[in-house]
Amino acid sequence: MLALVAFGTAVVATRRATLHQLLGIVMVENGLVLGAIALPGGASLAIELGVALDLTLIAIVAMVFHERIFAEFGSGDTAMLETLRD
Amino acid sequence: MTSRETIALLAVGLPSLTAILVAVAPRRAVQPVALTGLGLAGLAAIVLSIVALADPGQLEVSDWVVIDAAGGLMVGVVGLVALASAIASPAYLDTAPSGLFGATNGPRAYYAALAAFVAVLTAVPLAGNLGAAWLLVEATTAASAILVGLSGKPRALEAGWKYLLLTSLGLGFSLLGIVLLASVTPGGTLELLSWRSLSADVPAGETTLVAFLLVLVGLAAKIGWAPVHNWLPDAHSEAPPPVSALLSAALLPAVLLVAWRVERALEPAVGADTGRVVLMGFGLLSLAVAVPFLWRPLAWKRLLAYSSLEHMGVIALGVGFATPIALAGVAVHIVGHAVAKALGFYAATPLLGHEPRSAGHAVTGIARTQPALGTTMGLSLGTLAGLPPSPLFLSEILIIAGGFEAGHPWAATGAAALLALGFVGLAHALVETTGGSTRRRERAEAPGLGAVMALSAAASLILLVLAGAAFWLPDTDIVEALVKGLG
Repeated sequence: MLALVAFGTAVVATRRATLHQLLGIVMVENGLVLGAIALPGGASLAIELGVALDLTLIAIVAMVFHERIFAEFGSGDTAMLETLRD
Repeated sequence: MTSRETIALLAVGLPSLTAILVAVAPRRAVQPVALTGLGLAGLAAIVLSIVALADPGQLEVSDWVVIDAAGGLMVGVVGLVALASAIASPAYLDTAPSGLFGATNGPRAYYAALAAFVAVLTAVPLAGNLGAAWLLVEATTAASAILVGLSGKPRALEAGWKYLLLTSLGLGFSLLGIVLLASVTPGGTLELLSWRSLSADVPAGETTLVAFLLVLVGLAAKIGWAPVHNWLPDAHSEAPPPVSALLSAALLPAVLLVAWRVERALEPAVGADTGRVVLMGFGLLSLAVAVPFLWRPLAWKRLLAYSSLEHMGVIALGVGFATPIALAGVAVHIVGHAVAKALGFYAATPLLGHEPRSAGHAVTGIARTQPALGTTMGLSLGTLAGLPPSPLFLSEILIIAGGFEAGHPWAATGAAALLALGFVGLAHALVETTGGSTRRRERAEAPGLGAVMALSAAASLILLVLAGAAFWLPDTDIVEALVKGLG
């Protein structure tokens, strides 16, 4: 479970494609689900449904961004997303 | 259901209903429906705040909902900023480019996302357990990321993407901490993690400490505490001004309240000293990172964003010191910062029309060509700098005094020195922005100035009352309730 979280984080940190970064986030959450299932008392249904809803929302919003970034920049390479700095 | 719970239901339900109505309303009705709904929601939240603060000793605590003094205060701030953002929105939409959803659906998408954002934001301070609080904080990310990227410009897309990615990753670490906490708790389910059961049931130990740090680091990414603040200046500068105001004035302190509740609840397990030192560390680091940027000529909204980083640092120090005086300072600071910062962001709409360069550059001499706008910006910046009689001046003094009282003279001295440096930086920015030399055309148009002037008048009144309240607050029941927490 920790390995999955660590690997997902590494994917987000090192991959430059927007889609891969999103997959990294999903990977982290997958690891967390494994951890939550392993709890002796299990996770409560309300919390589990909430997490599922939240992650779906996040993924939808990320896909909107992903598509717009493709349309605007011509690729999903986050190396181009570095114009904002001080 | 008690009367407080009914009002809380209204405060959360009204904006949720507004979001749905806006999504299905005919195109002409979108704006009136949204403004009415957001206005009523803001009023309900303010009423809840007044009811909660009028009798601060009375607690409503269940496994899912908590209504206490700190939460009441925060809900009031969210309501106030939501109300003001609704007033400032039409002027922004008049000048805004069509953006992500095109000219026909742009306003509908904007208002629906704004109402949904306000709904979850109002619910965050009322969450009664750690799991629910996490869910709501994560939901604010989804709603606000779409608002940050709404203009569809490359810079806005970049800011929105960074915001979405960094905060969801951070919150992933928080959830890891929460799962760890649940695993050491007897019974081991996520359902039991209400604030009271956290203090009662979580055993001390290394796992608990690691879990506590993970939860806090993840929340820090959302609060914008250094060193995990990278998204903050980008998102605040690229979002529509009414949204920037909500992000900075309401979202950051609301999540900070969650972090504070976590720290308070876990004090028996990790030790009061450890927990408070972590908060103070985040506070000092945020101050130290923010202050050098306040000295540089930054674009208006970026300057305000770095000032948010500074003020979140101050609030973190205050809750870390945790003495009655420091907490009185925190209460005044949260409200004062919200009013002044939101006003500053609202001024960005007319400013952009008046001086298009202000999107990416520091501008000078606004009061020479648009006295009313310059005065508003000066009011906001002067208050944020802590120029007396600003309530933030008084609250910073209260917090630093609280630091000495709590026996952390070094942290308090460091904070005082950094705040003084920050004051000089912002005071310089204040003089340059309002009075500096400029070659702009006299009285060039400033669209939407009317709404901003009305908000400016209301803000000056609130700030003056607040400055008075800072003298009265330290001995009241409200502070006593803040110190006592949920225990």
